[in-house]
Amino acid sequence: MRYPFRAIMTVLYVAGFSTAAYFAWQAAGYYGLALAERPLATEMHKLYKPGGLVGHGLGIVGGTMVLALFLYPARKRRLPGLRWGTMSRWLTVHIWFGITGPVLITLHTALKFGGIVSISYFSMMAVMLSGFFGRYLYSMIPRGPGGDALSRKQIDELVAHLGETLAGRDQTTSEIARLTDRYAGQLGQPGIITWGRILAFDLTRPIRPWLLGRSIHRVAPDLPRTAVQKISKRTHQRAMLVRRRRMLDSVNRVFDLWHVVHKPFAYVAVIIMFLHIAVALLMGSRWVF
Amino acid sequence: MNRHPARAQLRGIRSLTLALATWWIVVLPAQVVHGQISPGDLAQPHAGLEGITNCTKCHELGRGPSPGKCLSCHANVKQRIDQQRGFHHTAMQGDDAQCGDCHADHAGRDFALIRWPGGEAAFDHTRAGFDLQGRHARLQCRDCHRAELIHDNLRSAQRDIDLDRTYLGLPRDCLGCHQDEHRQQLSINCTECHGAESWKPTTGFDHDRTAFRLTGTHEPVQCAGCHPALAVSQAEGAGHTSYAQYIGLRYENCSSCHKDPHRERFGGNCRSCHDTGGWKRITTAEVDHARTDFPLLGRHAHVPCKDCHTSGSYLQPVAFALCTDCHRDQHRGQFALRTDGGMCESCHSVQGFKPATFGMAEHAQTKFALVAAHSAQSCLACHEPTLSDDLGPYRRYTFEDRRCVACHDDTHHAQFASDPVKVCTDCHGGDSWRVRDFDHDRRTTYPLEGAHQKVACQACHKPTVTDGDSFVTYRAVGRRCESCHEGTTPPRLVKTKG
Repeated sequence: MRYPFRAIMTVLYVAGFSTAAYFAWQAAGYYGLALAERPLATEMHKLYKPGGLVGHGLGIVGGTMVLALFLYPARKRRLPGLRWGTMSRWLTVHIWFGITGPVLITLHTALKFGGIVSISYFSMMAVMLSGFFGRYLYSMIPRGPGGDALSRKQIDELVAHLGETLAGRDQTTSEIARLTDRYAGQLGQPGIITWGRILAFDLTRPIRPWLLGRSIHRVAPDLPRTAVQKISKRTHQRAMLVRRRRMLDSVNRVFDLWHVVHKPFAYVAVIIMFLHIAVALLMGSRWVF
Repeated sequence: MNRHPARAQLRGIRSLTLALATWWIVVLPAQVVHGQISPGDLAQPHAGLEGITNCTKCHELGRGPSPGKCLSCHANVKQRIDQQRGFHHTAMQGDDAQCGDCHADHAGRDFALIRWPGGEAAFDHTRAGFDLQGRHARLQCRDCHRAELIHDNLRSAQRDIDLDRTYLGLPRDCLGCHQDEHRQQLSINCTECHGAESWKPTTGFDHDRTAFRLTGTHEPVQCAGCHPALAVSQAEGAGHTSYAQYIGLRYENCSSCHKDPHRERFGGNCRSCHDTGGWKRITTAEVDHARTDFPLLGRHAHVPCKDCHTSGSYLQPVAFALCTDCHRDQHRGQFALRTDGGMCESCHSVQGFKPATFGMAEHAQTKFALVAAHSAQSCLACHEPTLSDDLGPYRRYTFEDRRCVACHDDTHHAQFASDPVKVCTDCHGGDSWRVRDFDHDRRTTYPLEGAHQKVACQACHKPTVTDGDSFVTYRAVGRRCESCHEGTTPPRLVKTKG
């Protein structure tokens, strides 16, 4: 089930971004015009103005996606009818809605920002950007296969299991053990400096196992490549768990604070969006229906 | 770990965020609430309609912008629509016609408020009730739609209208935009005479419809040739120096425009001799030549003036005492010795050179009266063009030799030239060449006796051929018998050839 879901998400991302890219390409000339000149580009204006056939349609689709973002918190609260699927997949879809929706709404605005509705737009963008940080925080909390956060005990057991594997099945030498023990690095008391170290570690995370593998190969040249890769992978997993275990309390606190920021702006965005929709309907704006 | 400080910190952050969100959602909108639920700033002319309380001044709730709302302010446009005139009347045909189709707003303060379908240059001006014809079609919109040309009615009806932006209020009459070059002398409907392509020529003007119809040489004359330039008043300012006078011109008499070269010697009515075909073209039929010393009689009445007035000036005297003052003497002075000096009118009249009035009676007064067969001959039978000079051949009318042989051939080959009888008429009659009652006994030396009296003339006078010319022998007939008779009994006449 994992691969079909990833394929579906890939298709959704491709569909969302290619749709946005297509209309952005088509309307690039129109978006580049000054506001006072846009109505003069009659045919483009009819299509791509916020109330135009394409512009309005993108707004409706993007707005619907923004509303769909609230399915994820509803799922977290296990509201009736939403008690299926893993949280991680709900989050994946939530992120797709949270990226694609604002992109489409950006096209809906025709890059014309003003009035109260711009508060909704910028709030939405704030929510989206904060979402990226939230997703990073989310990744800093060790989770099980279903997306549920692991307890400290579960983390400790997992760390111990990885240590035993390294010492036993992987039969690491003392020289290798010294490298793997140092891999997690030193973390002081949670604070700004520590957060900086974590951020720097995470930024270099994609190459760290490779660097470790090179170090292992240097002290144990005869060790097969697959064995080096396994040692590097497990060492990295263990280091991540150790570091996250070390920062768990701090991350949870920041994550709580993040929710405090993320949610109100989402509410602001949606409330003003409804206000915008209501005003548009009141002022007689219609799409194809 | 003491969690109470953390919870307190969390509560503080939540309170701060809520305050921020509250400001975000309430205070900030309150600051920009003035018109900021709109999708964009209204154009400058509508700037006064900004604000959340003004939306329904243009929009009908749930239905959008309403033409009725627009027209409630734009009363001048509504008036034109109600009167079924102007562009907006045609543009608002149909149930779904919206002002916003062309006048979409909320596109910013700088928006011109007019969206031209297909561009400003593609506007079909006929829909505005004024077809841009001729040179008008090549003008820019603002060449005509200028504030100073806008009708006062629009200014008074809508005082806040921007005269530099509006396309309304332009008069449809020519003088609404163009200066009256004729200074109220003529109709204010310029198109009666002028076309839309250019001021000149006046394609619609027909001078024949005026009290002075242009004919003859008047037609190609430039207008300014008859219509003088009048000075404009200083009030009109620079750029206007003069205008043509079209009314108040005197035209009853030719002398109103033309000088009388005859100095009134022929009266003031030029038309009695001239017409508009040209000064030198005299309408002869109407010239009373009888008032001159040379009334035009007979064929003279049909002769073009210039045939006699060869100088081109009718004031130049023309000799007329003698016919030969104008006409050439066809007879080259042959009659100069006549008692009348050869006056032409003795034989000819003004009815024509031919026929001459010289008849039989007149000929009888000459030295050669025409009698018998001569009276039946054409003049030309005797008066042949046997003479000639530098001007060509001409007919002889005077004859020194009036003998028959002067005209007739001597068919007798001079057999009688030495005779005492020398006149043809001694033998031949005047009415015919035939010889009658010739007395052979008296007039010849051979009297006819006996049987000779019964013999036909030709029996003795036989044709003789000499040098190929045949003639009858009268003189050389032998007197001896055997000259004619053979020596037989009874005697027979000798047969001769010929």
